[in-house]
Parts: sequence; structure tokens; C-alpha cells
Amino acid sequence: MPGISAEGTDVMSKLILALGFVSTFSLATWLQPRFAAMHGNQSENQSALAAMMGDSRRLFAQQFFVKADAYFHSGAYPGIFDAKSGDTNKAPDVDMADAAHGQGESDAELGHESSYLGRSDDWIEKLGRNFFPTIHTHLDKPGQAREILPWLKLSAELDPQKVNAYVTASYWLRHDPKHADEAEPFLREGLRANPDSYEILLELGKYYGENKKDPVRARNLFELAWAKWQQQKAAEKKPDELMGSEILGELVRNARQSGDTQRQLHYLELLKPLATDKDSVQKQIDALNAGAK
Amino acid sequence: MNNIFAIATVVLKEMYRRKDFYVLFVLTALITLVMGSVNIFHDDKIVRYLKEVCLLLIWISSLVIAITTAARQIPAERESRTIFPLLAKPVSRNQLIVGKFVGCWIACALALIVFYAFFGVITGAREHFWPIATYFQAVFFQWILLGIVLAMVLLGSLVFTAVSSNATICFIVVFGIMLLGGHLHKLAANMHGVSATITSVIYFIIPHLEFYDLRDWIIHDHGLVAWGPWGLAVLYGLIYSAIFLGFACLAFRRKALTL
Repeated sequence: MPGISAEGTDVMSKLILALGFVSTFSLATWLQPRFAAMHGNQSENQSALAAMMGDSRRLFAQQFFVKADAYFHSGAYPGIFDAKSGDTNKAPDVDMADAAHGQGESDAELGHESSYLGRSDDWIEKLGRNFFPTIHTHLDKPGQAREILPWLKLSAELDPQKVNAYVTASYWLRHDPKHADEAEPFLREGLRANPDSYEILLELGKYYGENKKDPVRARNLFELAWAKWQQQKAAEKKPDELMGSEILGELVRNARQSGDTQRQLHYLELLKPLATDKDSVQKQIDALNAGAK
Repeated sequence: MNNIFAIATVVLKEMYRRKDFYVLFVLTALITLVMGSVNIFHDDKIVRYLKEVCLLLIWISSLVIAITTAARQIPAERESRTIFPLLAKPVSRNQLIVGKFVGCWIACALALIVFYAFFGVITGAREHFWPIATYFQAVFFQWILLGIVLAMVLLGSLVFTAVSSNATICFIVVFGIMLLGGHLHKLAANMHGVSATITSVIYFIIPHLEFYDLRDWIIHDHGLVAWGPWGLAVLYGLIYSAIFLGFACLAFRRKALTL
């Protein structure tokens, strides 16, 4: 360096080195508590992926969940330009998840051109429709639905709070005899990330009731799910009423299987205000009361 | 014709000396194999996600190969001044452009065959099902699309000054058409006045590259595409390639070759 002696240069390089050490030490002391806090919150940050992507991973998780639904419809799926204005309130994930709750859409459209496409007005659109899937079919036969599972697993991995991903994947796993046992560890994983989820507890109860033929364990899980549902109701978190009636429906069915009329009546009384068909519930209560007399 | 094939052969030789294809193929193969080895609920018959990943990589790789190769053809000849002895052979300017196009197009075909052979082996090993005719339709469609893209890039290399700007603009145009091209008329329907007219005109003018994307068709096993519409789309693509190539010849004829 011009104007600085060799001794001065030597001192300066040592000072720069010392400055480097001090800077890295300061940076380490600044970073340490932040990393510790990040690792402390295990339910939020379980993977390196989560730490790396931050909250943006939820966006991707939703995208992959929608992808699973597109697979469920064999690729005949509306894009953002196809959704009709009247349907905008309907979440795109409804169909696959609805099927998981036994509320799938009607079969009237199955095997025909999807209605979201509307009428094609020009020759370009008419020609283009020959090159992408337009026929509405579902992957709902045993073994077929396995194709949606990678996207659901990825969705749950990116956003462990996405309860729907665990429940939907478990539904389709349970309905495949070869892979039904895979449902439990996946649901347990979801329950660890969402300990207050009545949806996961309900699905776990169904697994024990329907797949493992263990009504006692199933009842315990349904009761815990109902308790969680009530806790959320008390905390004014607006839990899903349909899910509440589904939990009570499972409890009624479980009580019927074990021949416990009193418990059956108790849950039917609880179900009455939540049920969409209140008359039918009342008829069941009346029939049980008449039988008891 | 001989001149055109002589130039095309030179382009092909240059292509296999370059490492672009090998790197992209190894990357595609590696990523696909890693994705295929992921354990998803102990079910080794799940295949559609693997098809999706592999086809996406094939599409990206083939577009990168096509655009980067075509974009540097004419500028490289000009920079190294080899264009002067080439045109003194005698080779006409039109023959040079068509020769470059044919060379790049054949190179793309060879790359596609290798990529799809890998794709066929990987997916066939999982689902024990070989829809050869559907794969042929998909490969040929992609090749037609690459023909349009190559002609477009060659035209761009005569309009834009730098290779990088031409390649970037072409990438944006291609991805733009693939994502939005088929929906412009729906956007126009919600617009008013001049903007609606302009959007509609763009919709009818642009080459609809999204026609040639049969990925969803293959992933969800929808069988064969009807041959009639398929043939029409091939014809449509050839016409657009010819139009872009014609404009490229016109632009090259008027271009001063001095640097």
C-alpha cells in the first residue's frame, strides 16, 4: 500500500483479522437465541424445509392439496380462468375432501364433459379442448386413489396444521385394504401437530371402529373428539357443525352396536340441535323410548 | 437442398460437442430417480406424480436446449466471422437460415427421443403399461412446438442485438403463451373498448403453444388423442413455423453482416 510502511501493513492486517473475529462472534451471539427459539417451537418447525421456507410453505401446501384434488378428477379440473363467478365461494378442495366425509358430488356429470368449461365460442378453443382432459371422472375405485397420496403427504409436510390433508389421505388409505394400516401413523403424526383437532380424532376413531374392529377404542376416540369439539364451541372458535353431528352420529352408531340404549338416547338428544334432518332424529328418539317402555 | 443439409449437419455436430444436453439429461434422470425412490405409504405402484415431475423436467430441458441453441446460431457465426466464407460457398442467406433451423430441429428430435425413452422405461417399470402410440403423439407434438419456438428464436436473433436478450424474451413469450395464451379470449370478454379488441387480436394471432402440451393427457392415462384434431394441430404448428422462418429469411436478407 502506498504511504504505509511494511510494519503498518502488518498491523493493519492483524486489526482486520481481529475485526473479523469480533464480527463473527457478535453475529453468533445475535443468532443463537433466535435459533434456540425456533427449535423450541416444535409443532411449528418440525423440518428444515419449514425453517427454510417460512410461512410461504402454507401457500405451497394449499397448492399441492389442490393438485391432489385435480388428480382425484383425473386432470379434468378448472383453472383460475375457468371458475365461474357464482362458484368463487366454493373452495377448490371441496370435492376430494367431501368424498372423504361421505358427501361427494352427484354422479350425474361423471363420464361427461366437465361443465366448468362452458360453451366453446371459437375454433381455437374447440381445437384446444381435444388436447387436455375434459371428461369428468373420479379416482374413487379401490387402489386408484393412491395417486393423490403423494400430494397430500407433501401438503401435510409443508403445513403440519393442514388437518384436511391428514384426514383426506387417511380416508383413502383406509379404503385400500393393502394400505389401511398406513393411516394410523399418518393420523398420529397429524395429531401431534394438531392436538386439539376433533377431525383427526374422529378419523382415528373410524380407523379403529371400521378397520381394526375395536369399538371400545373407537368410542374413546369419538368421545375425545366430541370433548374437543365442545371445547372449541365454548371458546367461541366456531367449530364445524356438520363435523359435530358426524361425531355424534358415530357415537350413536357405536352405542347401537354395543346395545346401550341409554347412551344412544343421550347422544341422539345432543345430535338433535345440530342435525339437518331434526325430524328423523326425533323419530329415532321416539322409537327408542317406545322400545324401552 | 444439399447446402441446407450440409449446414444442418454442422449444427448437429456442434450440438453433440456441447455439454448442454448431457447436463440436462443427467439432471432430469437424477431428479426423477430420487423422486421415484421416495417412500409414499409403502406403495410402490404410485406413478402419476413421477410422470408429472419427469415430464415437467423434460419440457423445461427441451425448451432450454432449443432456445439457447437457436439463439446463438447466427450471432456466433457473425462474431467469429465464419459467416462470410459460409455465404461465399455459395450458400444463399435463405439456405443458411433454413439449414440452421433444420439442424436445430433434428437435434431437438434426438434429444426428445432420448428423454422420452428414459420416461417410458421409468414409468413402464412401475405401471407395466406401454402406451407407445400416445407417447408418439406427445413426442411429435412437442417436436412441432419446438419447431415453432426455434423459428421464433431464429427470427429474434436477427432482430435483437444480444443473444441473452433474445433468449430471455423468447423464454418469457413461450411461458406467457403456455400459461395465458388459451385464456386471452376469456379475459377479453371481461374487458371493454380498445383493450378488449387488442386482447382478442393477440389471441387469434399468437401461435397457441398450449395445444402441444399433452402432459395431463399422459399423466392421467386418457388414451389416444383423436387423430383428426391431432393432425390439424400439427398442420397449424407447421404453418406457424413456416411463417416465422419466412420472416427470419426476410430479416436476414436485409441485414448488414458487418459488426
